[in-house]
Amino acid sequence: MAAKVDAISNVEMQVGEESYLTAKKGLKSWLFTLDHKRIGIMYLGSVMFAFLLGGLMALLVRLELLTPGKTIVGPKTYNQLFTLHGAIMVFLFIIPSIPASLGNFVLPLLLGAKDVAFPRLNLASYYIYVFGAIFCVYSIIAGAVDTGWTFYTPYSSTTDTSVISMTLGVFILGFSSIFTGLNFIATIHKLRAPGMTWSKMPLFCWGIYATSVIQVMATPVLGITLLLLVMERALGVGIFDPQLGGDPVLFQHFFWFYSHPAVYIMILPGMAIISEIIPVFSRKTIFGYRAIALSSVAIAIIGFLVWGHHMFTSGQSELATMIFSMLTFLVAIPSGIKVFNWVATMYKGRIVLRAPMLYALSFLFLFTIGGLTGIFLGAIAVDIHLHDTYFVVAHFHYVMMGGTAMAFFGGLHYWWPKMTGKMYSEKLAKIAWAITFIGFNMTFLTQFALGSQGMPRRYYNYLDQFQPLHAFSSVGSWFLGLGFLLMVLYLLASLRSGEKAQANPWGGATFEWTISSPPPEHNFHHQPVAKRGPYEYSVEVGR
Amino acid sequence: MSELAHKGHPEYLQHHFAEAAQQEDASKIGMWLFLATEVLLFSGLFLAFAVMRQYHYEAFREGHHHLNKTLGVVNTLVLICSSLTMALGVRAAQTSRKQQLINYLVATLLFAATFLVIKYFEYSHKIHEGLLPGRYFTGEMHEPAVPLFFGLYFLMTGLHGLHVVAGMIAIGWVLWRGIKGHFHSEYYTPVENVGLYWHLVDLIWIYLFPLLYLLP
Amino acid sequence: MSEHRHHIMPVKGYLAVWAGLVVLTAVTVWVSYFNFGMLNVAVAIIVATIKAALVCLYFMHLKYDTLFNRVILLSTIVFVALFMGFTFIDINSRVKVEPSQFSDNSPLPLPAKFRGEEGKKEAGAVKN
Repeated sequence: MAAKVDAISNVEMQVGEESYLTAKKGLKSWLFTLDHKRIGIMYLGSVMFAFLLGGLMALLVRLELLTPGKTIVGPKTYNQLFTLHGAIMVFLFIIPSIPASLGNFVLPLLLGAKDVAFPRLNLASYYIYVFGAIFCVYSIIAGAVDTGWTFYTPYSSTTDTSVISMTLGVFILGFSSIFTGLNFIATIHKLRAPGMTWSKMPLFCWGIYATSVIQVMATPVLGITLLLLVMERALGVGIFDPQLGGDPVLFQHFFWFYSHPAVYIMILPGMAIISEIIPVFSRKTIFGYRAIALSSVAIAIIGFLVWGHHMFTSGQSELATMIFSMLTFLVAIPSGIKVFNWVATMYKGRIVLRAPMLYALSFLFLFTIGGLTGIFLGAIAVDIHLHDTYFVVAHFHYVMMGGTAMAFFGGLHYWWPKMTGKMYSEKLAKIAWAITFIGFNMTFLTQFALGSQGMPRRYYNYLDQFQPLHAFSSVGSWFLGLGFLLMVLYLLASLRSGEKAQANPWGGATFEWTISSPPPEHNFHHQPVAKRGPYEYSVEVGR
Repeated sequence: MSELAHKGHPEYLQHHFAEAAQQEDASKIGMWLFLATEVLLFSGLFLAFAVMRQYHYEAFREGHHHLNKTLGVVNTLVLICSSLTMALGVRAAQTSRKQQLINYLVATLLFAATFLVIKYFEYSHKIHEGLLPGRYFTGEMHEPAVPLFFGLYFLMTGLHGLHVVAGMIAIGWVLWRGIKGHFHSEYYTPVENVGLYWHLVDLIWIYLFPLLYLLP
Repeated sequence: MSEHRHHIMPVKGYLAVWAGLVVLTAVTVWVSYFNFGMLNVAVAIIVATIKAALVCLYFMHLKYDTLFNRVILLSTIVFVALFMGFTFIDINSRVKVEPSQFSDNSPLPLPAKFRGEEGKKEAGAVKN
């Protein structure tokens, strides 16, 4: 009951008071804000812009692949397009998407804190992100990179495209990512509300915590990798160049030591959002809280032990290949634990199919496909056949797009009323979701078939026999684009004409729903106290 | 506003923290995490060094003979002394001794500058002999991979040198704040954190020195 | 609380640590004149690690710090070890050396690559 009293007083106290959106006015109040909520919104705008840019390139790539040979662009432009699509989506969209935008906004609210531990660092991380993004955009203008987002040597140290500005951009973006992660770890350790023990913390925070650990521990290695690559180009040091006595496979070790854990930087926050949405819309306490929480940490740690599965065909030793393959299967265990627990949470719940839940369900469906095909690829014999084919492309799009992006949009729809104070059109949201879901599966399910038939990834041209599947996939990408376009439109429309959102539109039991929508500038009027678990609905939800 | 927000908040306590201990703990966690990233950043260079040394043992031995052991030892001692003065500086802040803090910070800065001056002489000697990284190498060599050694030598000591410069800027910043009297026994976290950073710079050199100058 | 948080070490303690570091520097220079064969690297790393431990524990106050800050440092070491360890599993168990102008000019007796320092000296001898 106490929680309910808290909730009411927190909402009522600020009648007549301005929300964080209107408390301060003018451009400057945004550009120099230290408010985690405003920084979250600025990040949200930026990552959405990156998503549109990357998405546009994806559409161009798919359009080019509609027919064999030249459809719209030449081979070099094609190489640049898929590289930029990858680099923008990975470094400018997926990695910062959930932690830096939604995480920034809701993490302190979920913890019952007034802000993150280091607000100035938080703002700095945003500007570092923008600065890095400018480098990346510059590289597009100054002769875009054509190495693939992986920047493998020795091609990346010899190609005449603007590798240096792109790698410097990504290097700078790494700092932004590190600062966000570092900030969140300190926040979760030191700014939890009184009474909020680690086992009463919402699962979103656990997911973000695990993500942050990876961001802090893995990103520096990407930094040094890219710095070495820059030096390789600038000075001809030769560490990765066999002509000079170096070892190109070493580059792949360096790169994947970061980039495999980075896959978990991308998916863990997605899982974190799903863990919030599913109990709320099933009207049921989360099943297996501890298992879900600890499996996030397990994924983060095991994620560091498996990077060599990207290198089975690279000339890596057979011993290392076998070890990495065995360890890869381990990652499936904590991921599986999560999926089973989410399904068990829904079991006998009163499931409400609102837009966030639809995204969460599609996450479950698509991530399971993406995860399981990852296990196939982790098996050496299968991987030798499927390596660098469209099967791999389909696999990681099912995880990244079907998993992370779906979860991101689920979270966006879940917290949109809190962030903006407006409700979007539920009907349009459902339509857009359906188009997206169908378009996604059209685009990428076909690619599993293409890959297993032997279509290599990143190829400009292909055999005529692959055309029907390629064309089907391209058409699917148009549906996907249409779905997202619709989503952007109705979300923007809701800002103008949306219904005013209640403090707690979904009946959630975490702290962010105890304050008004949008929240006041300092979040809470009274320091909230965690007297019960984050998923105990019995007190509050009486629908 | 809130009953809890600004009651008795000292000047140095930011609004979103309830008490000084919480703020101090948080910023130290932040600093240690940052140091962790620094260690991992350098670990890439150390790994590259280890792998290349294994591939080209003879070349690395040859390259190493071009390094000046004496200057390496002197620089090691200089950094150890700077670490001592930094630690004593933190102690001075802990015990609210303003003048002592200023003196120790200035001493640390002087040691750091000494380190850079010695490094400058080492570098100019190498440049003079053409012992430069990669394709700029024009010096004499018997083993073909010697430029690789000097590439790594300049990358490792260069990145470390940049950290020395960054550390000096940070020390300059706390020195300025120390002169303005911001620090006392209740609040000295910036001094402590800059100290941690400076010790890390020393730590990295502790590994760089034997690997580059002393082995085999 | 405050007492407990702000542990202040005596100046003598700092001076002792400093003296220890100077002595260890002398030791590491001194041992570098001996050849322990394969153990050369190990000896250098061990001495450096003792020095690093002194700096961490006393200069950086880790001995008196919170458990979590110690955990951060230890896990950093673990991650570095993973990075280096797994990479070396690969490097040391490859059947074929990466093609390079060196192996082309003078085909290294491949097995020697895997016999540590001694093997490499043999390899070097063959080269010359």
